[in-house]
Amino acid sequence: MSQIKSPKATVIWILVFLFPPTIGLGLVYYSAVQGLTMGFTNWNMISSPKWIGFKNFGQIWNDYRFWASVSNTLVIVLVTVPAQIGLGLLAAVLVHRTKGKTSTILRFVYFYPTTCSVVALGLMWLFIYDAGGLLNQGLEFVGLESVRWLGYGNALLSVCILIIWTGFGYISLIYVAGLAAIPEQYYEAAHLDGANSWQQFFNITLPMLTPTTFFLIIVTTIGAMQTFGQVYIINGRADSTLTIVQYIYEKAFTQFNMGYAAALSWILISFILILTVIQVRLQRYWVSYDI
Amino acid sequence: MKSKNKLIKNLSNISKTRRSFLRSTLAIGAGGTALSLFPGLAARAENVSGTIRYSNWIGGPGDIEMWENVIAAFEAAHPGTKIEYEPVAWTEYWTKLNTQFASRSAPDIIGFQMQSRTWGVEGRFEPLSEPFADLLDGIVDSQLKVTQAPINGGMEQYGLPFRMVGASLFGNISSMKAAGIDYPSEDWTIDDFVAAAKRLTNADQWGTAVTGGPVDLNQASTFGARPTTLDYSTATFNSPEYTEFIKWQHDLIYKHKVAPAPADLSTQKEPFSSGAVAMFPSASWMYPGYREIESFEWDILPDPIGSHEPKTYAGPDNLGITTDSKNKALAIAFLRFVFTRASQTIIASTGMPVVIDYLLDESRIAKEAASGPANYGYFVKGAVERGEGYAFAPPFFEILGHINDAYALIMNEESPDIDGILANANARIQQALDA
Repeated sequence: MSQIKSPKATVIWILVFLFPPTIGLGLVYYSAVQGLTMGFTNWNMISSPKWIGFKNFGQIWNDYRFWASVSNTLVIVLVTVPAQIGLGLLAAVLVHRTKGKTSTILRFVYFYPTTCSVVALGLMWLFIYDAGGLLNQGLEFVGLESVRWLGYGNALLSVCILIIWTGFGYISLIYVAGLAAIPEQYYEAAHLDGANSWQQFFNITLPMLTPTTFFLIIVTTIGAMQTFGQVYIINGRADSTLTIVQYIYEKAFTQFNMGYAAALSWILISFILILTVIQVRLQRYWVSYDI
Repeated sequence: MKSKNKLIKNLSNISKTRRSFLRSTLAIGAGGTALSLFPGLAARAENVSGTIRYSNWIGGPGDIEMWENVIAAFEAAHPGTKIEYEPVAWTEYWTKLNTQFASRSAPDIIGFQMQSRTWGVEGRFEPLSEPFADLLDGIVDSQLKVTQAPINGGMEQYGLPFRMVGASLFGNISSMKAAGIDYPSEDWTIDDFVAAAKRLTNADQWGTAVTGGPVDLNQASTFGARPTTLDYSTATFNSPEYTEFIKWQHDLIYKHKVAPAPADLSTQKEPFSSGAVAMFPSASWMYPGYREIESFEWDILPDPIGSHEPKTYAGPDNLGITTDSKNKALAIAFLRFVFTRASQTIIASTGMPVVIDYLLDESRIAKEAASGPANYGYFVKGAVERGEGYAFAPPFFEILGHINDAYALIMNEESPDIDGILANANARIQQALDA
């Protein structure tokens, strides 16, 4: 590739490369502003939107299904984020400590579900969770009673298991990169000082991974707040797995109440923003950027 | 023969009412207005060409093949035309359709249920009273009404029913014979039904199943129950009649132990054709799938009688021409072709024709019965004599969702608060009706 020599040419190339993302970001922010405006209207996608002020937001406050979706979404966040991070870290340590083909196989096994379509995975787990599915067949084989995995009381937990299983491979991949970045000398010095493996893990590995963990908590929390595909497929009855994004989808594309859906979207964005700000503020107490 | 005369009499009476309605409609000028606005619709459109898009939901295992056959017959009869068929899964159909409406890219012809009352008035459908005036007299009136909507002080036909579908109680005749149960007579009662279900229940098979949803209407009606009033203004999901019906269904699971809790029934295989359930409320759109059954003999059973005469859930599936259509002449030609005997015979494989002559034609009924169900005539008779149209109010999906939620809470628990759950669901259904 030829060198770009003149400053003018450099500026032109910068502008050329900036153009696509600028357009993309412009569309995103235009949609966001448009969405906020839409939240103050009553619009069914066909007739013209009618301005109704804060009516949508007032209705949301008294909407029992919205609060059910908030409750379910928070359960998903509280269960899946720690579980994914924990399992991801465990898997990453296993990968990091193995060499050669074993390491490659483990990486493939852990990361493969992450590359699959969430719809395909959801359907596969529907078979597994079915009344006569793999899990219950296994339970009956060992003499235990079958479980209603998709019943009212269990469906949300079943969704959480699916999310954890699908997502921890991605976490482990990031952690493997984080582990590789920790200087080997730290472990050698600790070894010379008589630290055992557990002490090394808790005093070197975990602190050194805190920036990675912080990043992963942020992205997995946002991902869990936006859970949709899994619950769309599993679809527990009586709102047992209804999430905020699923409720937005339902309002927008099955009931065609776009104004209400837009208002819900803004509340979801606000939740995510608040949670992220809290996490960023709290990082000073536990995240270490010192090497 | 006596029975057929009675049916024809019923339908003739309905047709007279419809004729007078149509005259008044045209008299007030709705048809004339439509004609002046859409001159292309006035054409009988036999010399047509070009391409149109047609989309419908996949209602059952035979729908795609059925429409492909109708389209192939139309294209063969109209060289130079092309119908691009876009079948969509039920769960995605309405979402896709509305986004297409919003982007002004809806297919030329679409399938729909009860939406013409709102979509017609909103201008999404072309008015069809005038271009199809010569056909309307021959179509079952009760089904036509579902596709009408008021406009300019009169009523306009914003779509046409292409078939009647409905529910029946399907029976595994082989299992019944093995259990020593004779084919039931038309006066068998719900007590007889429970007794038969008990004899049919064994380690490998349930006597019956509780499904929830629209196909329950036949059984619910024997208790005098329906989820809303006939005019869809008031929720009656916790009426004494509906409560009694729900408790009876709950007893099937936990008292009589002849039906599984819904959560214990596999969703990965169809309960009746897999042999898991011996007497199963299901629908006519399953005929093509059930006709593939080789492991046992099956048929429609008479609906058992309770405190009320049972109704038959029978309602139309409809077609409309969208205002987005770019080739309305071809759309009209195709829609007219749907009402030819050839098309209606193909369509009848998933239910019933809507053209009266074909609906009551004994040779047609005999032909369908030969393919199964053998008692197809009972279904036709029930639909015509005591059919209840299934054109729920516009919030149909919300209502169905609340009903299914209540079923999930009641039927999966041994001691649920049935009255409380029904009251709660009823309030939500009413809320949906009022919105």
